[in-house]
Amino acid sequence: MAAVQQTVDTVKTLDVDAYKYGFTTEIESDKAPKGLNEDTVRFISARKREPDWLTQWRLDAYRRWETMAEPRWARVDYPKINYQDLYYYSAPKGTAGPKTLAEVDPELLRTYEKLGIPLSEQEILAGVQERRVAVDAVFDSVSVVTTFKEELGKAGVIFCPISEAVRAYPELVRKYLGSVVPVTDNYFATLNSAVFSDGSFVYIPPGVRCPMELSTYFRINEQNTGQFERTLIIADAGSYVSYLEGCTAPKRDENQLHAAVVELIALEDAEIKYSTVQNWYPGDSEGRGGIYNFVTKRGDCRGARSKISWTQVETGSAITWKYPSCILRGDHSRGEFYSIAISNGHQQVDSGTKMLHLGKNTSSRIISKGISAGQSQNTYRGQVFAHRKAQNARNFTNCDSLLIGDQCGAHTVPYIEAKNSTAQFEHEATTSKISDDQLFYCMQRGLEAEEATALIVNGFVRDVLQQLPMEFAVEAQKLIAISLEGSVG
Amino acid sequence: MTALAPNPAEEDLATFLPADASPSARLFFDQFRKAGLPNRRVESWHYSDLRARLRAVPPLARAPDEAARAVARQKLAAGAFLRVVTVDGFYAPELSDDFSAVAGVEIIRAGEADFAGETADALLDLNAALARGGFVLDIAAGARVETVIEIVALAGAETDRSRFGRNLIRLGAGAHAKIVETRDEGFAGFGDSALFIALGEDAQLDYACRCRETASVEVQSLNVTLAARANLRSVALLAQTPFLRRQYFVSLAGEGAELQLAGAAILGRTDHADVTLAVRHDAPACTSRETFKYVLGDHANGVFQGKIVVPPHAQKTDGKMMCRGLLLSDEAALSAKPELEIFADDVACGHGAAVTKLDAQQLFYLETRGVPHIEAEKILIDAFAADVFEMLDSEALRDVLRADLSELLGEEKPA
Amino acid sequence: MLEIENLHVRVAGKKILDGLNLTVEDGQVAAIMGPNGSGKSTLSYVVAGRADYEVEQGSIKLDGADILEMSPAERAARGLFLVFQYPLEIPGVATMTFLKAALNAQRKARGEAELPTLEFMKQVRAAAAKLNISQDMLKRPVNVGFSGGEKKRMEVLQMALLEPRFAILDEMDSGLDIDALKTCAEGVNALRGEGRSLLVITHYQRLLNFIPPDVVHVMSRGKIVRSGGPDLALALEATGYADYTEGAAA
Repeated sequence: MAAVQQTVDTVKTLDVDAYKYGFTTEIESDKAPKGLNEDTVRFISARKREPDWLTQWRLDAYRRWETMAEPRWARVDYPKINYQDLYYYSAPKGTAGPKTLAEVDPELLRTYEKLGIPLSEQEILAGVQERRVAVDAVFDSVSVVTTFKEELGKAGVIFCPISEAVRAYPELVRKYLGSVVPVTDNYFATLNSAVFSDGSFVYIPPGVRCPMELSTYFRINEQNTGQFERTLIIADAGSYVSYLEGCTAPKRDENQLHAAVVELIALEDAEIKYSTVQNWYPGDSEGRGGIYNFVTKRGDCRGARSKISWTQVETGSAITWKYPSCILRGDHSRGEFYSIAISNGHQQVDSGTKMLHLGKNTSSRIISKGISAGQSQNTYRGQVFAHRKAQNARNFTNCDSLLIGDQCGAHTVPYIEAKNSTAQFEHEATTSKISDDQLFYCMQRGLEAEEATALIVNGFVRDVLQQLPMEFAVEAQKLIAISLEGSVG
Repeated sequence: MTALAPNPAEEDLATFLPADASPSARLFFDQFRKAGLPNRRVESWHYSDLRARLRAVPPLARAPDEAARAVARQKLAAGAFLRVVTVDGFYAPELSDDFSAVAGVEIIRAGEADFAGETADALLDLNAALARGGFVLDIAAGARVETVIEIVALAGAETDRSRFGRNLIRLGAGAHAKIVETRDEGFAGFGDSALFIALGEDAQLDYACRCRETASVEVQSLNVTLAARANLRSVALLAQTPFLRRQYFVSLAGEGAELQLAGAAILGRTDHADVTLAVRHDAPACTSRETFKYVLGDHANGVFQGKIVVPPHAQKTDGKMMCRGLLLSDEAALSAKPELEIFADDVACGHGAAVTKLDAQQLFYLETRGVPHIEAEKILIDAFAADVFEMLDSEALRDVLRADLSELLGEEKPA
Repeated sequence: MLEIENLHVRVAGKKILDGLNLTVEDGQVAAIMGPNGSGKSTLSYVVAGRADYEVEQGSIKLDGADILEMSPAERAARGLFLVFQYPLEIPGVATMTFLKAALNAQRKARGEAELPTLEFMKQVRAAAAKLNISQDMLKRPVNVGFSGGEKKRMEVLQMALLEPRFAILDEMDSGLDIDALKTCAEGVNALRGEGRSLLVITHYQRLLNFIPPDVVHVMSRGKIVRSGGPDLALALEATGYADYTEGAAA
């Protein structure tokens, strides 16, 4: 209730061009030379003091990538990317290795403060900040700080930058890296494998329920710099972890490339809950600038009775190309995908999921809510597949689209493939607009058009919002209202 | 991406283009050659890799001679309806009934100019380039044709031929008609047929299609245009299809047009049937309902791809699409891709898809009432599939389809 | 309190209100009766400010202020309330959320402070109890899955909570059985009094047995054709609308 009022207030107080994370941080940085070749790959690997096997792994990926073509099947349209005109590595000066909070450049700390990300453990412990969330803050190509490492360590939980994990836990990284998203998976994943910079590594030991939410906050700052983070989360048998991911970038006139890979592995009886609020800079009202977001996210329910749940609120980016998926390998495993994708202005979204039922008695659930406004195009693309041996596979899919204004498009492209007589798949989709009658009803009760729209939209996405951790849900609700600003005539 | 290896079938097809082919036929053939036989990398053909399936094509069927007509005559047992007959895709007036007594109906041999120019698909291009000798069935404006017209498409004496039928059904403004199409290609050869249906303003057509024993590889294209307030109810019953692609390109071109498109596929053995729809709501306030059902036994493979497209100006569109599959065997498979592509905001569109098995409780219930298990299955399958016939207005057409369905389920249980 | 002068309205090109005049006094309960298609529902929508109604001529004043140029929300904040004949469903929005958003939007528009949550809850609960509305219904999304009777009770609950100056009841009896009608009527009657006027629109006299009016107007072909006391409604019940429809045609 309070959140709705907040939503409404936020709508009123913000300007039309409302992206509020659009500032830049003035900080000197250490960059790889512009362009991409084997030397760039070696440069990144050397900067991160990586072992030889990983350097070779990257080089293999790079050679593979050179033979691949950029995929064009998604309903997104953008000019050809010049991969030689980008920087592939940029780190704020003086962050060569992981640091304690005290050693972090105060300019960086101010940046995160401005973004509302709590990095100071003291403040959190003292109750200045109310939420207790461990944060890994990634700035361009490096992790600048990870909080609560010690406390997590007591529980046996490993939460650190992946560059650190490569050195500290090589056997874990080597075992699982690329085991869900193979090096050769797709164009952007292969590119990421060659040049990935930083990201988070999480390992939850058997039987451990992670004592707090883990969170990574991604920030692209530097101009003409791609961000290629890599996240690897392993939930060992019987463990549980909830992980949050947030992203922002400064307003810049040129497009910036973001090609991430996220791999989740859930062993027997383990559960991973992965939530994203994606708020990369979407470009201005003319469609200039904004992030190209090409992301490969995949979870492997490797063990019996394991569960992976993806929840995403997508409001940012000029282009979104993203299909968080679940491989339901273990018997009785379960995959979930909850998504709110909002597009406004000139944004183009092509997002959805894949549920691949391989094991017996596996189940999955997909709830997708797409909202298109302005001149944007919003596509849901999702695959549900039951293998011949996937006895009793179950899927339920609900996919609703809402159109606001007559300049935008909403598209639904499901692929339903059943190769098993015991599979039971149900899919339903609707596309509609907010009815004039509903709006009038709300306005008759005293709400102005924009408030009424925000209220109805919040109702439309409620099923998904409920899946987010509490604080995230409130934030997401605000974000939804802001994202739709100016869309009501 | 590596280039595709050449396919000998494409070379064979090139020899079919006669030396005296018209410029437009050449143009269509060039378009086909450029695209080539569609393969799984072509999104709309992903589930029916024609290029992989069609490695060689049989010789081109010639206009029917006496031998072909004799074979066809044998297949044409006495029927209840007035018939228009084609053999190997060629209109055969000498085998067809006399329509002179039916007011408002005229059947003539088709010419190139009778068909709409542009196409959206390689196989429709190929058909446009190679088809000759089809018919135009004209129902005059205002005519209310009460008698059911049956179109019978037969293979001639040599079944292993390549056939390219191309026909047009045209209803003038306010005309009403009931048409059933019966196709029997004798399980052999290659077929690439096209049927054009053009309904004038306020015209109403009930159309049923019975497809059995289709060619070894068969592509059927339907090109449908509905003018304002026109109403088409169309149901297809597909069975015994070694490799069938049935594709509908529909344009709801006039305001207030209504479309009901349905089908049931009863497949067994290694049958492959792919129904692909592209329904464009090109005018405001049109309504469309698409319902397709699949009963899949043995190693059968069912494909449903449905796309509803609503361009920006088509406000007040009402579109609903449904696909349901019943899998009776672990070797059978169904792939469904019901798509919505919407650029107008004042619309109510939806689609659904469901894959299920026979309801064990219903089966049990029937068995407790003394119905043997096999019979109980048939009853439930029949009910599942026959449901789509109900949208037809004409009782006579519904009866034909019902009889076909019970024959299919009686002869051989798909499982 | 409400003054409508010479109101001409078209809907989709068709003339629906044709020079309608109507005055409702402070504290008065006025009934409008009329045959189907006489323009009764159009009148309620135009007063509440629904778009797509083309007002060609005339004025509508609430407490002396012309409201025709105001948005529906502004009219609501001035105390105008419409009991919808068919209340809308708003999926996903909890009834409590909706009530609070509406109440606070109106208070804010009037320059009043927001109602503290506890006080708000108390008021809703009290009003709900009177109307036999369960806590469970308040948690459910607005009108979603409600029966016809539940929807109408919810309308009356909103009216009790928003305390309008002027309420229009558009065919409140449609879709209600006798018990539900009694409950709703009791809820409405409890709100009768000084400083609040009601306009009861109905086809049947039955509703007026439960909400007795001070005056009765008969509407036909887009205007008020006759006005009188409560006995006029009874006379109509006996003779039907034939006199008016034919008379208007002549």
